Amino acid sequence: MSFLQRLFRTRTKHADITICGLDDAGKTTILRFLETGEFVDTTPTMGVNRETLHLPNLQVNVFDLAGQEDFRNMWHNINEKSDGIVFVIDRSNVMRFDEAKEVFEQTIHAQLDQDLIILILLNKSDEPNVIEKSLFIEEFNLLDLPFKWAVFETSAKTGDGIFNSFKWFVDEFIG
Amino acid sequence: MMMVDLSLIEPASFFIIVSSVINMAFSLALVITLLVNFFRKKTVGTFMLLSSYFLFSLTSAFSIAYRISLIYNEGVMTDTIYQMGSLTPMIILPAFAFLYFFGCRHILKDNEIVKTYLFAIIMVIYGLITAVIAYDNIYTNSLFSEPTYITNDVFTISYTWPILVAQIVISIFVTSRIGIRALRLARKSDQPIRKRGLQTIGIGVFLYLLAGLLSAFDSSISNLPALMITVSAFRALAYATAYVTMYLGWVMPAWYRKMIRKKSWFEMQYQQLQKR
Ligand SMILES: Nc1nc2c(ncn2[C@@H]2O[C@H](COP(=O)(O)OP(=O)(O)OP(=O)(O)O)[C@@H](O)[C@H]2O)c(=O)[nH]1
Ligand SMILES: [Mg+2]
Repeated sequence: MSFLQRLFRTRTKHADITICGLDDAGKTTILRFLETGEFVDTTPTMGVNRETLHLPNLQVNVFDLAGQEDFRNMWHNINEKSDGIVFVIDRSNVMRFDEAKEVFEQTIHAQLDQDLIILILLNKSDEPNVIEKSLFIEEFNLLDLPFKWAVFETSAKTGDGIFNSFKWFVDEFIG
Repeated sequence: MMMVDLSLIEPASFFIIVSSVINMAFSLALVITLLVNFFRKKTVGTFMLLSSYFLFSLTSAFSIAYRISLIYNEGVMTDTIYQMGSLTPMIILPAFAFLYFFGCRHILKDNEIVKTYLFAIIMVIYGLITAVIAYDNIYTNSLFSEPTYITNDVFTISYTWPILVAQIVISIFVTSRIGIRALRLARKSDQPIRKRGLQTIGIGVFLYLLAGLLSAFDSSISNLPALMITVSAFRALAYATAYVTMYLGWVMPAWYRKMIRKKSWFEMQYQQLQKR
C-alpha cells in the first residue's frame, strides 16, 4: 500500500445501516449477538434499537427496526438515510415467504441510493426444514437486483454465520 | 479601623492564595464545561450543578481578593475588606443547597417531605448566619478580624464556631450522602458507562469533601507555617483532582465514555482478525 493511500485510509468513515425484515425474523436477536457474542432472549421491538460499532477506520450506526406490520410504514424514514440494509428472513417459516418477499421488494424499491449495499440473512438456520439458499435467491429474484448484495446463512441461536456476514458487510463500507 | 498583624498571615497567606488560585482555576474550568453543557441540553439538573459550582468558585475568588487586599492594604482592615471576608459563608450554603437539589434529581431518592424539611433546616441556618453576620457587620466588626481565622475557602473558618460547624455539618451531610449513594448505585448498575460514571462521581465528591476538610484544617494551624504550607499543597492537589474527577463524572465527555465502553463481541472479533 502506498504512503498516500495509507494516509487517506486512516480517516474514520461513518455508515448508517438498518436491519429490516418481518417481525419474529430474529433481527433484535442478531443485534444482541453482535453485542454479546451469545444468544439472548428478546421481546418484539416497539421502536428502534440503536447500536454503534466502532471499528478501525469505520463507525457503523446500526438501527434495528420493528418488524410488525403497524411499524413498517415508519421504516422509510430511517432507510432513506442509511447506507446499507440488512434484511433478515426466518428461513424456517415457509408460510411467510410471500409476505417477506413483498416487504423486501417494497423496501428495496423505496431506495434511491445507487451505492446501497444489501446484506440478506437467512436466519434460524439451526431449525429443521429450512429453505435452500439457491432456491431462495431464485424465488426472490436477487440476480436482477441493481445493487450490491450478498446472502448469508445465519443462526442467532448458535452464532453461525453472524460474524462472517457482518464482516463482509462492513468490509464493503471500508472499501 | 483595625489592624491585622501581617507578619502572622503573610508567609502562609502566599501559599493559601496560590492554592486558592489553583482551586479557582479548576472550578472555573468545570463551571465553563457545565455551562457549555447547559446550553446544549438546557436541563434543570445541569443548571443546578452549574449554579452550585459557580458559587463554589466565587468563594475562592472572594478568598483570594480578601487576602490580597489585606496584604495590599498593609494589614489595615477596611469595611470593604471586612465585608468581603464575611461574604463567603453566605455563598457556601446556597451552593450546597443547589448541590443537594441536583443530587435529588439524579442520585438521591429523598421524598418531598424530607426535601422540604431539609430545605427548611438549611434556610433557617442560613437565616441565622445571615442575621449574625449582618449584626456583626453593622455593630461589632469582630467575627472575621482574628488573623488566625483568616482563611476563606469552601469551608472557611473565619467566623465564629457555630457558623463553621453548621457549614461543615451541612457540607459533610450533602456531599457524603451523594457520594455514598452514587457508589451504591454504581455497584447495582450493570451498564458499564453508567456504572463507571457513578463511581467517578462518588470518588470526585469524596475528594472534594477531603479538600474542604483540609481547608478547615489549615486555618486552624495558621501559626505553624510549615505544616500549613504542606496542607495547602495537599489541598490544592485535592481540589484539582476532585474537579477533574467531578468533570469526568458529571459531564462524561465523549472520549471518557469511549474509554469506558466495553467492546462488543463483533468489534473484538473484528480486531483480532486484523491483528493476525
Ligand atoms: N431457532 C432460532 N430462533 C431464533 C433465531 N433468531 C431469533 N430467534 C427467535 O425468534 C424470536 C424473535 O426474535 P427477535 O429477534 O425478537 O425478532 P425481531 O425480528 O427483532 O422481531 P420484531 O422486533 O418484532 O421485528 C425469538 O424468540 C428468538 O429467540 C435463530 O437463529 N434460531
Ligand atoms: Mg426486534
